[in-house]
Amino acid sequence: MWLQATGGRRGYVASCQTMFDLSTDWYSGRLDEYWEPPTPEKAEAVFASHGLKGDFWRLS
Amino acid sequence: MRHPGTRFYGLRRMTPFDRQVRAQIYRLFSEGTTVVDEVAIAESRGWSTDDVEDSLERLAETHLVKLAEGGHRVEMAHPFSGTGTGYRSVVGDRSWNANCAWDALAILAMMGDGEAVAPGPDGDVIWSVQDGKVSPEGIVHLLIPARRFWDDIEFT
Repeated sequence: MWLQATGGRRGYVASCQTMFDLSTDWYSGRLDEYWEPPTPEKAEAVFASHGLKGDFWRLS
Repeated sequence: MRHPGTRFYGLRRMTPFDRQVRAQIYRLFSEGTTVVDEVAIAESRGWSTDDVEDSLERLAETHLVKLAEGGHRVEMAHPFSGTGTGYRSVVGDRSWNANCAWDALAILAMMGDGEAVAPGPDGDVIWSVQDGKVSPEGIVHLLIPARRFWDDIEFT
């Protein structure tokens, strides 16, 4: 049913727990003035540390 | 050469003032301010509205925020949303607008245990987070690959 909302296109399906756990790292320090946006390589490493790999998560 | 990652986050370093403005945006959203614009940001810190507008434009150019069309209201400072999307996060008696289901969970990752709410065809879907555990089990469907998130961030 959820695919009907996208016209049948399927992207990447992740568990809510995975996305929550990723967010814990991804948004760590975001409220801090000295937060630095991650480089593509660093971002990919964060994704990969939560099992999010492959072309969908590639930035570099 | 265009860096392949510029579509995601710009590589230009933030000025010290941009850092303060970015942090203030997040401070206002996290404290519950729903309309975070050049006036709210400037008044909260005693800054010039013109300076804040210029900073917001630089932050938007580098994908650190998304501004509402034709103005300087912050529409997205991920995971916070400046617009009522139906997605939201609730912690005790506090709540925040989110941009999507992922962001509703992400706000809880930042703000503490609570409920993430996503609109569904048969009513709201609610996930609870307690001690970092999400229940019930569920999935998030991401349609757009990460390197294209910012091609059309509202659709993403």
